[in-house]
Amino acid sequence: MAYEPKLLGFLCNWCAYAGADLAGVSRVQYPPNMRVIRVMCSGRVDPLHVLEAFRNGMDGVAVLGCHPGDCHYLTGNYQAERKMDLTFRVMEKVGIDPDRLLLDWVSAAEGQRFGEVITDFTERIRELGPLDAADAGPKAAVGEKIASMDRIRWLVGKERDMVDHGNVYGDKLDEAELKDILWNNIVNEYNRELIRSAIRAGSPATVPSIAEAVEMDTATVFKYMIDLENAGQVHMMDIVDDDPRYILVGEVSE
Amino acid sequence: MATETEGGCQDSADKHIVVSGKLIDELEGLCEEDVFGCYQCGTCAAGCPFMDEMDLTVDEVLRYVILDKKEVLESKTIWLCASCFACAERCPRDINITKIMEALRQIVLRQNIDETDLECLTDEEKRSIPQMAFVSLFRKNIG
Amino acid sequence: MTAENKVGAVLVVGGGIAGMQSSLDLANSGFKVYLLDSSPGIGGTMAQLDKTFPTNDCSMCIMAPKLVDVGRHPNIELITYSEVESVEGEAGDFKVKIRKKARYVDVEKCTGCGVCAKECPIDAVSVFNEGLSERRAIYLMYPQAVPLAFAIDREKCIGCGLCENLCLADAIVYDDKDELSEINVGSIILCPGFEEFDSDQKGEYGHGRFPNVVSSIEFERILSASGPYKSHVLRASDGKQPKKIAWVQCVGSRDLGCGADYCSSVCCTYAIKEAVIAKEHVPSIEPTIFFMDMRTFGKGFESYYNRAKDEYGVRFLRCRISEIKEDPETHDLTIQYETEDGQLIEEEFDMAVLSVGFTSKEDSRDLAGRMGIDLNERGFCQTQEECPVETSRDGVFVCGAFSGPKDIPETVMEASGAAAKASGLISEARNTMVERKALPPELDVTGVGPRIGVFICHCGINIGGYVDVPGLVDYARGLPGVVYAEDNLYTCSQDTQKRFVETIQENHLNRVIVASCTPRTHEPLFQATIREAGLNAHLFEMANIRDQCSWVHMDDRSTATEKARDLVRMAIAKASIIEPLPMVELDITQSALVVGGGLSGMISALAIAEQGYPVDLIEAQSELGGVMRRIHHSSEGMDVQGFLRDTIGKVDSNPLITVHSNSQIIDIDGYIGNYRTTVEQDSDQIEIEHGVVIVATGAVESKPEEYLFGEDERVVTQLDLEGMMAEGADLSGKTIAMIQCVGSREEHRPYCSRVCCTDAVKNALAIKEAHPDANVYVLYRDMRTYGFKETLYERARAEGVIFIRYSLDRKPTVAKGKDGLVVGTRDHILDMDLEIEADLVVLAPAIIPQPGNADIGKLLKVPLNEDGFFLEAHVKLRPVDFSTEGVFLAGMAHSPKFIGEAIAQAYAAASRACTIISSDKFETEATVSSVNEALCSGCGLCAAACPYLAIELVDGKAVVTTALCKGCGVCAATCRSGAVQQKGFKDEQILSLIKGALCEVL
Repeated sequence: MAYEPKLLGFLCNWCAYAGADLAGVSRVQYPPNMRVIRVMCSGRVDPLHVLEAFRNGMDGVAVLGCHPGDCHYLTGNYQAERKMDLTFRVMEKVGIDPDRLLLDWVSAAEGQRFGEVITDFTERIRELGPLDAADAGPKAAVGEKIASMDRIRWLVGKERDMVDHGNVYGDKLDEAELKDILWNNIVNEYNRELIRSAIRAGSPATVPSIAEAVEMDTATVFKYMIDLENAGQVHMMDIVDDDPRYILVGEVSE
Repeated sequence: MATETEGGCQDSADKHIVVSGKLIDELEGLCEEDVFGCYQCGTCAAGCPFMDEMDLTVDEVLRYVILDKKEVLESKTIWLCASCFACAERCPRDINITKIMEALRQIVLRQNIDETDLECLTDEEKRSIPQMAFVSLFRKNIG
Repeated sequence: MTAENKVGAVLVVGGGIAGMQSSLDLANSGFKVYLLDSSPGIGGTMAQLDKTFPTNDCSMCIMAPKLVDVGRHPNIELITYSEVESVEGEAGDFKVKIRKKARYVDVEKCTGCGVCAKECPIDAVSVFNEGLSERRAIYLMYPQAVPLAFAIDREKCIGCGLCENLCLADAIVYDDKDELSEINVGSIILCPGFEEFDSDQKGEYGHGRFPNVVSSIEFERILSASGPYKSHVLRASDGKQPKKIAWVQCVGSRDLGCGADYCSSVCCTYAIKEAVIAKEHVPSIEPTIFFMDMRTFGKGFESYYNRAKDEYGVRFLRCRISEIKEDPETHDLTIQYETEDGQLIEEEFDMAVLSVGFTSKEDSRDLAGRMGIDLNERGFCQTQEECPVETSRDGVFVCGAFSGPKDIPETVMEASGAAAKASGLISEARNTMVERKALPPELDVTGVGPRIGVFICHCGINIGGYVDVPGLVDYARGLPGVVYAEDNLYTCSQDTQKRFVETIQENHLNRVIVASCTPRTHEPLFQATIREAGLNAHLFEMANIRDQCSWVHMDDRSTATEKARDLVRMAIAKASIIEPLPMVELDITQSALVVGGGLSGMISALAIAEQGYPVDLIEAQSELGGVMRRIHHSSEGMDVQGFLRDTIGKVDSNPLITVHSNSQIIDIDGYIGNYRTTVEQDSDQIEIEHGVVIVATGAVESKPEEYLFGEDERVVTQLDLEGMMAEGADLSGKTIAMIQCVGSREEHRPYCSRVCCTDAVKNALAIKEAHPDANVYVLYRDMRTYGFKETLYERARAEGVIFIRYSLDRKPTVAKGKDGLVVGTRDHILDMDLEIEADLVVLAPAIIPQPGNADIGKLLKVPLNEDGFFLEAHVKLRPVDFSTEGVFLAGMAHSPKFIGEAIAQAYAAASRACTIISSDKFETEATVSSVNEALCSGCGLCAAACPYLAIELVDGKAVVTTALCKGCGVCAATCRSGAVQQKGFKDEQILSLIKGALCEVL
């Protein structure tokens, strides 16, 4: 049987869901692959919901809200945009093709367009092929860890405030600069997670052994080790042949 | 009162035409059109078939009258008007501009100034100007 | 009329946005509403629009929630496809005869499924799509129509009988007849709207002859995603995308040739909007707008105009078009126009849009005749500036475009204003005509395992025809927690709903799932039914297996069925973990606080007092009246000072109004229904408890910084001039030069102050009337005498006032001359410099916001716009509300406006306020957010993300003010620790849906 992508759609009640209804009323035909979850506002969609869908075997996720400026809740769709921006970045980092996530705006009057958006997205995912659950599951799990990190959620949550109204000092920040910071945090978080799992896989571990496992140079790994140690996440157990050996803190080794 | 400081009809030095008092009074006496009602929207000019040949646009003519600038009587425009009524028909203010043009011509004509001196014309001009033009010109001068 | 005889019901005639707003306000204030419309459905003109200016909001998106609210409101009875025959009786007790036209479809039975129209063999022109597309003889006005019921176009129908044969709901009634009935109401609101000018009358523009000349409303449909071309900009002659489009303004407006001596007020802005949207659709389009005066006078309009010019590259040409010519071969259009420097240009366009004006409807004029309502000479409803929502007949009110051309926000303001007047008249009869259904107590389902009932709808053949419904029922029966499943021909039909209650009770169901159509229209109905059966309304889930399944996958029964199974399974997965959501009721302090004792504040206070609720009126000055104390006569001839004295007298003598003059607000604490405000008066502080706040702080005249103002006493402002004239200044034989836009429409203050053009014309006329020998010059940029104010401008011209246009790069100069002042400017037509020797120079300074607005804004947590005026919740549909519930806005605090407009808005604010304080309880949204304190770290992210300022940090924990929460869930998606959850959309519930979609076995 031909491959049929499994798609999930989060539709906001006021625009996208209404647009989907209009597609129905207008008998716009589109592929039947998507299962829809109605939320009141696209801003309700947590990056974790999207990653959870991928972890559970969805091949593609669409988040559809009101066009900018049209949000029934004033600014919810801007929130969605920021949250999905994070999700895209996390996916890119952990190695789930960001093309598998779609963020778009469909108004209550765009029945035809809703059909087109879904058709295009279905075709896009069909071309990408199925998401290998054995591979993507752990990746999504790492992504979930990143997306639930305090500082990352904080940055995303505060972004609009800091750009539009100013930070705690009253300075307005540059959006691109903030995005860079966010991206660095994602990269760092991802690398830390890689290192943690490398240690988990072969504890105690040395910087060179980790570097080999995670395919990073030793200097970078070492920087992360210092970082992780300062954060109390790893502990230097001993030094063997001049190489410090590290173990994870707070995790019972299996 | 508003006075002109520069520009306008360049050869307004011509002293033949004398209108004592306000031009508008004389004009309204002749045609009873509400010139002041003009919006200066430009419809009359945009629709005039002879605009290309005119020195003043149709709406400029009206503006001269409103500002009491008598040099408008020197303008070619009032004579080029073919009385096709396109401007009057399309005017959103219902001003019969064609009548205003005629009234302006009348003001000039009533001065009995004979501008057509056959002596001044070259033979070439006499040959090329249609005879009908001379006839109508003389008729106008008769009033 | 004694108080006991008054009827607590209101008839609203016209179901456009005005009628809907009036109805909702009234219904929410305890009155029964009959909403009558001559069409088969409500929605009016706004339903036809694509986007709305200046925010470019999708019209249907912002209107649909109101449509649905009206459709399902228990206090609103829709009377569609009907006309008012006669009105007898008097204010407070009218008897209205209504003719319900034969619709041939039973509205109660029709489910809106559309099988009939799909097969109907007769084509008819779609009036809704302005004739650009076709519909069938049996039709629905538009897909979102309320009521969602078809009608038969009897003129077109050939009576073949097919629709009856196809209709499984048995809704077709071929022997339907017009029906006469009588209703009894206390007051009446008329809002039948307007008609677009028929551009065929302007033969020179070729509409109706040239296929590529369309009217602006036709172009709206062309732009609309649900329009005939599905939002593709195409031209009718060859279906090609046009490149150059010309908008021709003032078609049927400002044109005595069409009998229109008025301006239609909205065409300038809508033309800009259409040009911008067209350009957004197809960036290669080159839009040109031909105009006379650019009248972007409303709030935010001038910056919209500037953006169109500077960012979108819309070309604006100041010339009225004489005619449009067509090349009969290519159907391309040629337009000849005059440039500002007098050049005549001929240019080709691919398409032309005629910006048609507003005219009065023949039907409305007839209605006015039958009801004995005075019309003005243009056929619009006659109103007075003192109360622009009153008609000449006592107890009959008006709003919207029936009383003159106006845009949507003005219409919505008037609609609420008319509601205030209509209900004020019958306030004693509040709650006498509305019924509250007695409901059984809610069953306690805590600790009881899920007993799920599943009802699957065939929707005639709409679902059943494409999805294996009986198979779905069997499938559902086998899923965990499901104890009952059945299929219905129409789950929503009345008989099924009756059985529904019995089935729930017999089977002890405690969760109910309906798999049918869209929850957006049907969820409230099913929720009401399960509530009648004793279940909490939120123990309910819906699976949309029609709009988003059977209808969109018609060609593949097996995958459609498979999808339906997944959707049902998802609903069941969530159903087992849904919880009853209590309806939280908060107590309301039934009184209002009005900030600002100018005209708007006083009118709001009086209107609320008329409804029977106490008002505290706070005024910073020692006297009431605000800026109105300096205005002596109005453009409409009102005795302003007399009216003001009268109003102050009414306020002072009203026992329900407490005036606090010389007072400042120190602190405002609380939220909707429960405010506590500290007011300082002469260093004494008092505390006032109230339920709502109306902000009516007004605005002030700015102090000009140019044209020798302040240096020469012969340079004054328009308000100064009014004062001088009131004191009898002799201007006989004098020359007066007026300069407009002083400090408005400039880079540092880009907005238009709206009233100055009319003020100048009004004062110029007053001078001319008193002293015909005075010379008056008005130096202006665009003459913005919109609406019927245009006639004043025409009169001023006829009286000999000379208007000279200037441009921003060549502003006039004022210098001291030998005797008088010398005003230098350049004549815009003759392109020559002029000098005016003036005895008096009158400036029209910008109207600027009150300097104290920022403080009030901070105290109330409501925003200001970039110009410093208060920013309403939504510029179109919530023009007097703030996004913070319980706080309202009136008068010039919103933006500069005329007396009549301020009065209408003041009544509107009162009406909106009364929807809250007319009840002693306030029901909050059920799907609100809540905080698990144990998990909350007090980081405040949720508070920062909340669009409604409903979350605060108290003692290091987030606290949701349920009264303010609107249930969007943004906070929950933002929370770092999962402490904030949205009821009904909890993380675990959303995750259950995700898992339900993937796991064949739950």
